[in-house]
Amino acid sequence: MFRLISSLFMGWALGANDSANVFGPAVASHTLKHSRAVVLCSLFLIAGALLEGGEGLRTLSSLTTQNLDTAFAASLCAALTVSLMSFLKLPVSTSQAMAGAIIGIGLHLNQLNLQGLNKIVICWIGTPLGTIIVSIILYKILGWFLEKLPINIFTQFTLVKYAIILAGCYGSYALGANNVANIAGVYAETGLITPFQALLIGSLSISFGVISYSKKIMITVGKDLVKLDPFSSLIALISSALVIHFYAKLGVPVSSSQAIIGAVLGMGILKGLQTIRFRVLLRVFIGWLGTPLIAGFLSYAGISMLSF
Amino acid sequence: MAFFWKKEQKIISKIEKYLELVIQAKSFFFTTIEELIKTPIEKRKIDSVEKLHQYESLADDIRREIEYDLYNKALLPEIRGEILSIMESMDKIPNRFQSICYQIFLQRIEIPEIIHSSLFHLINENLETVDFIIKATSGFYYKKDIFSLLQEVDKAESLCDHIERDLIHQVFQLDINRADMILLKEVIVQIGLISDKAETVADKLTITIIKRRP
Repeated sequence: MFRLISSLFMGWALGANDSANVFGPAVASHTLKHSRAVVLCSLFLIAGALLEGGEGLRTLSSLTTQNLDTAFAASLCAALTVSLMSFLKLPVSTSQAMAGAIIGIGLHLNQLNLQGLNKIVICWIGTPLGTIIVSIILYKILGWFLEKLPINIFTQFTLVKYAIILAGCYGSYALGANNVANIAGVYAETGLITPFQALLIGSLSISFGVISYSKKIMITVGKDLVKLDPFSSLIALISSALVIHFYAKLGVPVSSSQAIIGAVLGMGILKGLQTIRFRVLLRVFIGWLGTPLIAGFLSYAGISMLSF
Repeated sequence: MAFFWKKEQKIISKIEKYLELVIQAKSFFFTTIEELIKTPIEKRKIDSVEKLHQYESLADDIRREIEYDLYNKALLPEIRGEILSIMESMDKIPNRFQSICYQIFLQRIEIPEIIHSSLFHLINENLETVDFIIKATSGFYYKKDIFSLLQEVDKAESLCDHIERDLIHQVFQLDINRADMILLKEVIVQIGLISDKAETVADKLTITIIKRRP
């Protein structure tokens, strides 16, 4: 059971980092106290994980066959990759880290399901692209609708603020549904725990990360998003939540950071390309490419050494 | 529904009250300055100038209340800076009404009859910019399209500058002493500042709309 520690650490890191992508704007703009945000985030995250997280477990299981040792190696290598990328201040995806680690093991054992892998890679590309498209469409439609609403400017701003809280709840639900499989999914496959226990352990460890260590990141990430203006932040949150939820339905764990970055990029395209900081985009791209490669390399090397 | 937006309704009511007060101050300013221009220096009374000061003071009080509500009740942190900046610029208009009337009264400035019609033309055109900017500000809070009104402010302000220059030229051709000419010029410049202040509000509204438009 001690092997689950690596999963708990992954869950904690995911909760601490990724909750900022869903509740950052609400906390950073003082719309919602951090204490209330973590309660809402945790509740919706657990609900999403338990109600719709099962599909992701099936996809990760389909990539390769795991035993207790390979599961532990995958989980540990993914956690190490997340820590390394965070240390390098590069945007990191736990989904990519976990999938990369599983792929590394699959390659070593020569039993990788390429069909499942294709699905995952297509979804990774589809995440930022999807949020760019969804955010542009939503911005146009909701912007038009909001302008036509017969309310004064103050009421409009308050409405947007409450909508940001609701979008945060939906985003948390989608995050739980999509990302929970990354946490203890590999152990469900080995039979060490049941799928339900994997979802429960995953969602609780993510929530622990949200409760214990999310404040600073929420404010930092939130302030970057709030710079957009409240309405654009709302669109970014809804778009990324919709896309993450869509991939949860498909059963492919994707990155909430890349989803939100795609949505912010969509706003940038709408407001003129000069608003986009290309150096930041380059870092995102390095993180996007580097995370699965590093995790894959670590797990391949790790399992090779163990076999030797 | 209104229950949910109680705080916002309260603020908007106060802003409407404030704008109404600026309209009243504008009307009272016209009456007061007309009286000052047409009445000989010895027969002028301070009462109406003092009343104008009351309007200005009341407008200040309401503006402070709005400021208090926006900051102490933590309302709309994203836009309160912009709202207050617009209000502070708007507040300079009733201040100007008051200072122009005090200037004419306290400095005992005689307005030669020959420039009365040009001076009233300048006053009316400047007050028209105030009408436009009040309509635009009110429309801004209710998300109406106010760009045409803001353009009117810009056009009227240019016209005011033109009238102001002609009038100063006219004053310096009068057969009065140099000191009186300078005092008259000062009054004309101060009246011209009304449309400048309206234009400042218009500029701030334009930037806020562009920044905040979904």
